[in-house]
Amino acid sequence: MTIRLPEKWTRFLVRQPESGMGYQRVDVRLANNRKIKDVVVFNAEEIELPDDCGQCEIEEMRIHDS
Amino acid sequence: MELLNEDRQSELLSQPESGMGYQNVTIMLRGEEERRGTVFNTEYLLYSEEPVSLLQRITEPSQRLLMSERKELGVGERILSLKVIQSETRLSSRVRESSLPKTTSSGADEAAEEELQEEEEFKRFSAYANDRRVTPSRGLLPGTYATTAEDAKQVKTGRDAVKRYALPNPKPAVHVFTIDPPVRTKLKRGIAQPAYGQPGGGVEVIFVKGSPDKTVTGPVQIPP
Repeated sequence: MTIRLPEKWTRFLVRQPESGMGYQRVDVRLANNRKIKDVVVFNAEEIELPDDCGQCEIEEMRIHDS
Repeated sequence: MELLNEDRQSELLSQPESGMGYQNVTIMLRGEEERRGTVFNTEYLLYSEEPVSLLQRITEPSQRLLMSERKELGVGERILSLKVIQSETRLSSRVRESSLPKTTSSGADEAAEEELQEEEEFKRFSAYANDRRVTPSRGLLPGTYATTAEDAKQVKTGRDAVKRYALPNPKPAVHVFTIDPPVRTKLKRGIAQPAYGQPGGGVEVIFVKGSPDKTVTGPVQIPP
């Protein structure tokens, strides 16, 4: 599912390099400590997360190291 | 087991076989680690832990329906990319290739950094009119991707851009920005590699340190 990121993560992402035209691949850690690797963020503002993560807050984010 | 769509099939057709009629692959799934499997005829993906008997069942329509109902058969919605596992022979030949002069057959991220020697125009295709990589002062942020204006001539629609630059966002990239960077701008050039079910093949350029203010115009809109 696509989730709109809070502005703080958008501000973080625009300071990071892209992975391709218009997107970044990131690793995230959620508030419940679940780690999800290599998810895609479009335009530094829309993240693609598994369906069961809709209500989860993102605690940590970094650019995926492929 | 997954039934692969035509885009996935095209992605696999651009990669070598592992043996006659099959390809051993690593599969990147959305939100998960890598998995391994085998693709038959670029059409049926069998994960490594699944029994090969599924392959026989899938050819029978009634069994296929049953497999779908039992969720034994997917349509690859969660697949981000498929990559054929290179054999040792291929890897060693790759090592030899790497000693040859650098070509542009790999992605821009693997390319050597260069400085723009003369004026050249670039284009950036985006699904968003409010592209976040374009600064309010009409520059580009460091690490932003674009393509050459020459390559962009091949792109007539937003969907063309998604295919040619292997973009993961299926939304047509209909907003086109033009970038006119000054000479000595630091760039990396390469070829978009197949990914996300898209064939790639277009020129991709990374603006390593971005592009200064007032070098970006647009966007103009193209058909979806």
